[in-house]
Amino acid sequence: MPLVSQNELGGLTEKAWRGLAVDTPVAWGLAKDCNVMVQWLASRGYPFEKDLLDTLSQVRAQPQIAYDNPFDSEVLIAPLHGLIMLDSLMADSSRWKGHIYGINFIIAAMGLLKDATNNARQNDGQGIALCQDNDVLAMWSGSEIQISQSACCDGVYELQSVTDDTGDASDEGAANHANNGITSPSLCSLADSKNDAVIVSQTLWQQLLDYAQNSYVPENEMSRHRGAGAGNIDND
Amino acid sequence: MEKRSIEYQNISALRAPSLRSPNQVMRLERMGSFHPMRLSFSRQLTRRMQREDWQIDFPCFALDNSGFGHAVIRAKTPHHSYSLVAFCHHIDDDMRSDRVIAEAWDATFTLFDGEPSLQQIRMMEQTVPVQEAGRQMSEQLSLSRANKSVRLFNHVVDALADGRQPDAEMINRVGYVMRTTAVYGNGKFGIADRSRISGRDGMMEPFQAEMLSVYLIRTFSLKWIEHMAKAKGGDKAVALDRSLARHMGVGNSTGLGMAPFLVNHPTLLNNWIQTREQAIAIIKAKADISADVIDQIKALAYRGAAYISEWRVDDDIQMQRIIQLTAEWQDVIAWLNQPSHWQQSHPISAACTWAEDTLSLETEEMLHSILMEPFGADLDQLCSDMAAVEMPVAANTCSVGDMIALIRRHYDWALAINLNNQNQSEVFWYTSAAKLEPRLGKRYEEDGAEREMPFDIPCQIQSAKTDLEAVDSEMSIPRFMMAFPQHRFILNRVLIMKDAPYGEIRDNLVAETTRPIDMLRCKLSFFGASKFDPKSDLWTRICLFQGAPLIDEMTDHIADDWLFSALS
Repeated sequence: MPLVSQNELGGLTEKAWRGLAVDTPVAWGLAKDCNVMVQWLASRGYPFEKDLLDTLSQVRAQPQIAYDNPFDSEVLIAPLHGLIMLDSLMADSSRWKGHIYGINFIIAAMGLLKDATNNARQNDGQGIALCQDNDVLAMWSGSEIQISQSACCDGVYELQSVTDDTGDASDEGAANHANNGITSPSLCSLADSKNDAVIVSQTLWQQLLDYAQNSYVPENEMSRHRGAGAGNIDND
Repeated sequence: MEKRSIEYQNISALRAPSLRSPNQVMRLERMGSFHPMRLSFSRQLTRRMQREDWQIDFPCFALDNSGFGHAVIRAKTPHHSYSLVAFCHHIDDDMRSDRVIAEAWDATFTLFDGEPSLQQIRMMEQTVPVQEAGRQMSEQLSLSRANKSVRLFNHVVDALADGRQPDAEMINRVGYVMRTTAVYGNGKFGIADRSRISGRDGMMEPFQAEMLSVYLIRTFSLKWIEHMAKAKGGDKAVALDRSLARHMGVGNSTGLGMAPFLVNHPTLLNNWIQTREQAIAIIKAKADISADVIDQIKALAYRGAAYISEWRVDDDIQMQRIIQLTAEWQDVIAWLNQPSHWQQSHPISAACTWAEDTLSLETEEMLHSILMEPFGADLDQLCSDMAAVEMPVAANTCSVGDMIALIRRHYDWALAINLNNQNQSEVFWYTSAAKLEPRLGKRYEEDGAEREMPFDIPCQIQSAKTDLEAVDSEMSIPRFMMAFPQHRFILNRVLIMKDAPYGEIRDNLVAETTRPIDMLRCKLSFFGASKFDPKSDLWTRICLFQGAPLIDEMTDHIADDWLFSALS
């Protein structure tokens, strides 16, 4: 199984999304979002391969779903729209319910937005809860993220913005959002990130390489000679 | 991190408010006129090597009499060891190419984190020589390759073998016996992600692993030629004169591959440029200058004249600029030698104003490099501001109305471009399937534009603004992006500009008039490259570490005094 750097994994993922369909390529910004999200998951040892492979296949079969608005379609391809969705819910202090594909990427989106808002000193106890049947499966509040030990798989979920009125980022504050009417029985803290290389399956790696190939321009004599500098022989 | 925050507090007291505007600085013509300076990454490295008394040696030098084999060059810092592992190969002349698509090189290198075991060297012996085609180890911090400058390499070896010194003029003209054609870092082909070292003393600042790699390649190249001379000449062979050795750097063939970096890392680019502008503003804010510093500046100006006189290139455009620089530099020297200029208040500010009003960009920016040089005590601490942690930007506090205002403030230059003019979309940037070489294509003559990189910034800006103006101005930007995901990329960039106003090149990179060489030179100036030698609009040769101290010369006197090094 290939051992790859996190930067390689993210970069190739981005190119794979772009190469998925040349006539309706996934937008650059969404592909870049997936780049950073997959690195976030990989660096913390969270699963991402199945989510990534499945959603790549979905979008390859139906390229338009990369452009459909989840607020209209009630379908969220988390590797592509996860970051924007959570950002949007925070902006409007709202909630969304629908079918989520690539559920682990929601955790990555939480983590990245937490860092972004903390970095910009924009976060005053705000966050997002991922819920199913009123159970909180993951909660981001202020500077903390906690996730349930229960396995998450694709399905119908609710995402809602949470505001801890007291600004209390403690476990108790995060677990008792009476104003949102949700319960969070057993949440634990996020794993720390590591700088290690990542082991990926040959299946995933080959799939990413194959899709990415479509984002490159095939060579011809004209491009070979005038597309870049330096000579073909440099003996000076 | 605590140390850095203390340094930041000290810097804020020094920082002057009046930086040059991004509209003035972030133009390709000016960026393509930057020169190396004391903030350059190679200078940061040698200052640190001197300050921390790094020890560099050769624990292994296993080259045969033909110069083939491998070597290890070790750099020991107070906290870590790093080892450059070099492999030297025979290649036929018709295989020697500086392009990304080359598949064989005179020498291949990797910078290893620590000291490699024999087993690890054996593993790297299989993977490093094939470069991109191999899977590297995560203990490797960089991967690079170099070709001989065949004429100079052979000339130097022959001369030393014959018991004499090589021709100084030839050394000066070429500047290196080896030139790298790529120095990869940050996770490429399986090597370590930058995050492995980014928190480490000596590696926090940008490109320090790559700079160390190149410095050690230079060290290796000097030993390699003496080894070859000894093999050829036996007892008759002599060592290379130290002044000549010091004047040998490492060449580099820089092509389009470096250009996309500036577009893909706006926060990092901002931090580089903004730090440089802060440095210029700090020295301009000084009300008076001591006699010692004035003398230093004058001496540097004379050294600069010698450097310019040795700077000769084949490219007509650059040679015209050098000719103009040569003439104007005499005016610079005259200005600096005028006592009344130094007696006025804020003399450096006056010099910069005079230069801006009177001189070409090439000369003006070279003067900035000279003027910054004596102020290490004020400016060197700014280097810690040049790194960046790049992360997504949250948009949830931004409305459509806010975004339109941001676009008007930071992208007025893009809005002013007439995109109906075909010349404004003449070229496209892409990755070729051939070894993933970055290339530039002609949109209306070649296939492939549908796969172009998103460097058509003005087009994206104008398109986004049209859609923004068609919706409720109170709508949140994330909600807008959900409805218009095709604008996610460009709107993220606009948000970055709020805190990173120097992060965007304010020229149309897909216009007919685009000269990628300007992007390359800007980045290379931050590396500390000298003797900029463009071969076309698409690539250039440069020299790194020319004039830099040798490994046993890291003293106060020499270690940080090699700006615009000249042999004459």
